Amino acid sequence: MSRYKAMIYITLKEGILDAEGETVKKALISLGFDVSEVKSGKMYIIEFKCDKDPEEVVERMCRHLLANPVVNNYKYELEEL
Amino acid sequence: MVVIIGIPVYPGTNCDVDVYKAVKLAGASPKRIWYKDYKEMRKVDAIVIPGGFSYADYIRAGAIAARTKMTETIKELAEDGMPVLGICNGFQVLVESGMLPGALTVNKSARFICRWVYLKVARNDTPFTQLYDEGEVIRMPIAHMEGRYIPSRGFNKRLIVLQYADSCGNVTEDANPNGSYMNIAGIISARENVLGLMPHPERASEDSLGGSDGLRMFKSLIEYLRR
Amino acid sequence: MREYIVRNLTDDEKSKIIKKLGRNPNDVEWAMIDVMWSEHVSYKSSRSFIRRFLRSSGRHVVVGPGQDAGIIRIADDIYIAFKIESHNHPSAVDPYGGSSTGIGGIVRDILSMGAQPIALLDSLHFGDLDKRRTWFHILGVVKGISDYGNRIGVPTVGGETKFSSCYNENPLVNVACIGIVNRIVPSVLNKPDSALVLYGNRTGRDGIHGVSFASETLDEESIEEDRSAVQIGDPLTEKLLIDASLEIFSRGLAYALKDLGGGGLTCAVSEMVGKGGVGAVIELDRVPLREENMRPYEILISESQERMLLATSYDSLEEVISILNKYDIQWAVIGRSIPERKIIVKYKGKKIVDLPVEILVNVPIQRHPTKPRTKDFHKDLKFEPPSLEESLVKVLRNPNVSSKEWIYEQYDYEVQTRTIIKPGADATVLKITSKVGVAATLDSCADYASIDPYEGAKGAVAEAYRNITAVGGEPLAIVDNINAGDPNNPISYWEFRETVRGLGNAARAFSVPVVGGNVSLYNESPSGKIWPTLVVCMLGKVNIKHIMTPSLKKTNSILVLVGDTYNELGGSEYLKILGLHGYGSVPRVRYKKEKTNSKNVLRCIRKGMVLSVHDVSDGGIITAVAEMAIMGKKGIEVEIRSNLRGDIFAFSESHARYILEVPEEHVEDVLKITRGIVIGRTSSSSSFYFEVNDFCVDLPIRRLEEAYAIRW
Repeated sequence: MSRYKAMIYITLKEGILDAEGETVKKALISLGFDVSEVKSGKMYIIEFKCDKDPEEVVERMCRHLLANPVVNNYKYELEEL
Repeated sequence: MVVIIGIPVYPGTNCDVDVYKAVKLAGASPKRIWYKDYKEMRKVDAIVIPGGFSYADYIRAGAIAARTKMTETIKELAEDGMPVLGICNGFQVLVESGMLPGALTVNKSARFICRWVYLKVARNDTPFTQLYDEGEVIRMPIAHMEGRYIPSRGFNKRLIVLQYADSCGNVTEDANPNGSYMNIAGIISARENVLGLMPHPERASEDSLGGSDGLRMFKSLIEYLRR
Repeated sequence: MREYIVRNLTDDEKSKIIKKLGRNPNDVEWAMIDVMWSEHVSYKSSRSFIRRFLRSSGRHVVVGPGQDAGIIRIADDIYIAFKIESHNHPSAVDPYGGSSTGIGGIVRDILSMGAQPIALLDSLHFGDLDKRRTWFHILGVVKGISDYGNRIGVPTVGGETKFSSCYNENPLVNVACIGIVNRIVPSVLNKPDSALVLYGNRTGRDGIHGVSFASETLDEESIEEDRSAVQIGDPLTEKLLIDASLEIFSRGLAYALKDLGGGGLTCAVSEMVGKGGVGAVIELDRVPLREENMRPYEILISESQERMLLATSYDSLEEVISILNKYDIQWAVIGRSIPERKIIVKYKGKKIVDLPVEILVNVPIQRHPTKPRTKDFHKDLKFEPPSLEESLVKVLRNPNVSSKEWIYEQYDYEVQTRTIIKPGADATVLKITSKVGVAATLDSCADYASIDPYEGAKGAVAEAYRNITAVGGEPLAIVDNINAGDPNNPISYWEFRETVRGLGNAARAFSVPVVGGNVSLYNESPSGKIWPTLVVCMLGKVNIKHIMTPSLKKTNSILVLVGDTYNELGGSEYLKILGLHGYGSVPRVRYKKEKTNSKNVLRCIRKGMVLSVHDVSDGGIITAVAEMAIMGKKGIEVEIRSNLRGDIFAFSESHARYILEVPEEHVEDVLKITRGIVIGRTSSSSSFYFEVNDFCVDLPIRRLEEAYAIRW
């Protein structure tokens, strides 16, 4: 068993209104920043163990829980510990 | 015939007692069932998944509750034809678990909204809406942060049961509190035994508390079960 | 956080402690004494006035001040617990965390009396709206209350939000909670050999020095540094805590219960045995921890949230544990009560603390000099009035007056299906049974207090009294929160004293006992200090069949004004928009009129003779009528002749006044009962016509709506 650490980023698909992102953009602009776009998302840092294919494990975590395929995209970085 | 309605309670669910009160008022026998006691759910006639903040809406509203043994059990029962009503967080659990199509995400305003709204009844030929008239305008409160309905590919408009409307029943953009596709407030499954809605019928069950249009939803279900 | 540094003790207090103990306390003992002797926990600077001026007994008072919440009986077998707390300093530094943990704390206080929390009300005071910092406070606080309150399933049903520059650096977040009691669970333990069970979240380093933080003034450095003094809330655990605790109560398994708040475990244990005549042994190793390498004193004074301390019999322990396990709540048996009046703490096999209970809970009063403010307000007031129309629109648009719907819409005010009167009215009404309801309101009059603290304090009580009346309630009891400046500043301390004196005077005159309260001092920073702000939370009892709201209901009904209007513009919204705050006479509370008018208005309500009632306060009569018209979407026509100049009559904020909407057929009787005067009628037009002497407003309601319903 090897140990891994995954940094997983979940964002909204193109075409889905990112209400949080819009709100944050307005707030930054009102604070004086010259912002053109804000996308909001979630990040999870997960330390886990597995035998064989860590990428496959992370994919499954995303598909089965962390991301909703109807509205989310996901990407991740993986390192062995 | 005594109709038994099962009400699952997840950690963070907070409208279960309100649903219990409304179901009782409507004339059935409600049973609140803690999510660990999911086997008890098999003994009921119908299920009402209540609102609240199961698992504090972590990851996405309803996402974690949808992946518990309790929800698995409910899904099996639904596949066998048991009527299931999901209210607010319950609706979120239904879409997250695939019992209903699409997804529910953050309101357009990115704010929590607590407000009484008008709804147009698009279909009165479901077990949950048979006591309403088609096109009837009713009033119920919403209280949610993630109520914007996003359809999945190939969404069938026939599944729409309730839409946000103005007091005259016009389905307009102004009447849409959260940006839901086609002002959707509630939809039914293709098999027509699972209904999810964001507004709270249990909070509209008594005139002194603001209106009783919601009570008929529970009564419809009970009448359906008794036929 | 290395060696412990004492923060709350003067040299004099330190020598008193060493003398009492007969030795030097060790490091851990100093930490415990330090938090127990902080202002926030011991009330050493406020106790003397509170005891001297406030009366707390009454025939429906079941539990008065001294326990975790007050309890009153509102009908046979119906007991209501309520309490108010402040979280000002944390909210200034981290508005989101400060307000959400404020909610968590007050809800646990109610829970610890054996009550089920059924409603929250909050009184918020913020600074100038043209300052970024103010918006940082507002948005954080509102979101904090919304996120936490909504998740735990307790509706936020009412309160107030006020604005003034004095709160720029020192916002106020006062939260009240109401609960229904089935079986009272005491906060005080008098049984030795009981098991002490700590349950809820693990203990970390949150909020260490939280009580010291609340007992100091804020400066530039504190804003950045003291983020460690702020706690983070976990509403999911709180909800489970509520569910598990209610189940423990229903099975009669609790001897005593305390929530862990300011002062952490030290305070909870000390207060639990403090008045109970027993002591306790704590096995510190047993406390579940969230962080590594925590030092014993850190464990003892940590203010990690969502933790409760339960005292139960060893026989009941198994049942308690099975309930906690059902809800997946962390628990540990961390000690037991003992007959000796000591607090003993053991850690890693050694006794590290051995203190007499007295030293922790009997904190001597700290006296400070007072110095009255030299009356620098100007009673004489002469000015040219602008157009009445212009003034009305400006007052309606003023954030103190304008609709707060954009705020309360973010709170779930319907959960638990008890909210009969929704936010936006004079008071909230919660359904308790099919016949009986509870009316509740939060009120303050800091504008008056800035000129005259004594009159301002009385004013807050009077306003609450009127608000309860306006919804049809019989006022029963008060809990209060006093927010004041630094007690070491003689003027601030004088203001504090006058506030307590005013509160006591009014509560006695109205026969409404003060069954609990909270004091928040040190609301001062180098740039300024707050006006002495008394927030009154008043509860009343209502008959569900006879409740009233302020929105106008019908066309062609008659508007009746009850009560006399005086030239009392001091502290008014009107003078504020004219830049004349500080001038004029502050409205005086006239007890006889206030009580008589309340009694008469209630009589009319109970006889079913009125359609709507609104009390007159901020913005005077013209604003009150405008609010009724806007809420009811009805036009009005009002014509009044007065001895006062027209604008003064319209905007004076004299107490003891109400506007009633009366159907034609009842007008004669209502006038007889209330000795009021007819001022106009509701109309089917959509215009607002208000004429007083030679001043006139004639505007479409829509225009007023636009000003009032301003959204942010």
